[in-house]
Amino acid sequence: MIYLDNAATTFPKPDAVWEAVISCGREKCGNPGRSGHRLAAAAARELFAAREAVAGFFHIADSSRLIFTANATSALNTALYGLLKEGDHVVTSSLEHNSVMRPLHALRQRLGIEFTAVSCSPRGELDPADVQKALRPETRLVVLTHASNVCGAILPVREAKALLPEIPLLVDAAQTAGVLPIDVQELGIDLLAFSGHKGLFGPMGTGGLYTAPGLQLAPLLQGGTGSRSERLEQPAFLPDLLEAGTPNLPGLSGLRAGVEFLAQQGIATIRDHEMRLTRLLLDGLAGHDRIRIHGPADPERQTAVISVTLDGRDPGEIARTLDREFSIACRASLHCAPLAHQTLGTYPQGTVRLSMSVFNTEEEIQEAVRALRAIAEGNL
Amino acid sequence: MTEETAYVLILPSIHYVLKVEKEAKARSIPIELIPTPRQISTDCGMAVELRGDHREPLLRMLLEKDIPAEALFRRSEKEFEEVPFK
Repeated sequence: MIYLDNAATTFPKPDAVWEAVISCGREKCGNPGRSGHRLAAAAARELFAAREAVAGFFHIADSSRLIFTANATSALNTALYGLLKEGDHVVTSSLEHNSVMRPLHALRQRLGIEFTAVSCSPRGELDPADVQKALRPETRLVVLTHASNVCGAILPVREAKALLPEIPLLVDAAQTAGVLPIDVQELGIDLLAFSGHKGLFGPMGTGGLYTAPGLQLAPLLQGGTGSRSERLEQPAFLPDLLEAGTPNLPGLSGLRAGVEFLAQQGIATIRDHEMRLTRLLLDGLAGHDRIRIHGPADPERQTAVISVTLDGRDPGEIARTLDREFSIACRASLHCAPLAHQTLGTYPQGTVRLSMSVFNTEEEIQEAVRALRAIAEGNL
Repeated sequence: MTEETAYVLILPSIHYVLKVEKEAKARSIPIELIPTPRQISTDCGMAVELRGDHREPLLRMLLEKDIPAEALFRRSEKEFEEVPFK
């Protein structure tokens, strides 16, 4: 199989990830922070090491400000529900995933918040000045995806923050953590939500949220933390404030191994490889009169995620043919981001999305080009 | 104060206990993690034990690294007496 659905979840993972999961499960899987015995201490050390490793990866100075979550969706909900209050206004983009748009919609209905989704161009470009223009006196938060999960377009988060230094910036890094360099200080990120099982190569059920000093979120969940147990109130200090309940320790051991793999390979090397594959795919599909590429179509301005449509063909049917006839795994349709498809002009039919990782080869991309061209020619 | 005097430091949660362990190691301050004695706390399962002559550098480290500590106890035989941080 040629796996080109890495934007959904990366596959394969480095072997070290699964070895770490098994080793944690076999040797260290006490409940971290709940007891004083040696297995609990080993578990607590494992959790601490994972937190320090992931915090270091994003240049987060105080690792207590990084909380682990089940996924990016949970991190985004924790940030949005924890920060926003009645009457607040939020500025976001028209390329957001439902993991941002649905909580914003629910908060609008429940709390009466308002939000403005700033329009991006049909190629997925966001003008930071348009974000500034959407500001209101009651704007409490700017939420931007770091890169579109539909077309790969990289959004100018640093530039947007530079124009609005006083408004907290929440970045959805589900598509960019492990793919683009992320330094929370340098980019001016106040809240960073990320997925563990995509570019960071961790197992599913892992993700996280960073909150900058000075920002205090109200917890979405209350429960056991192993600290301040005599009190009914959730502890006010991090990470306990936002981490009620037993964490996915084996998963987080795997996530740490994933981050260590990335550090070993180097983000720059990985990015170079993915840009080369992106260029190969774009060049291979360009110039065919029935193949349309949506988004930037420029490896410098996008992640290794490419959306295409073939004139007169249903994206679902194309994906099925790629799977059945060519053993190429990809994703079709709306990719949980209907507003992004409206922006790109591909709503409601959606697109075929091909997304790559460092484990894909040039030969695999050439095979994908041959397959898509054959389908476009009507040979299948 | 004699070298045999021991102190037990209580932190808000296990994250900070391990933070102390990491930072103390970096500064070559010998400490030991112990199950928290029941007499002094029913909460965070682990505490930091140190000898009296390492109290000053460890407290300085807590300040410099902005590590929140809950309480400090002096141990004599099996008795614990809470003492101020300074």
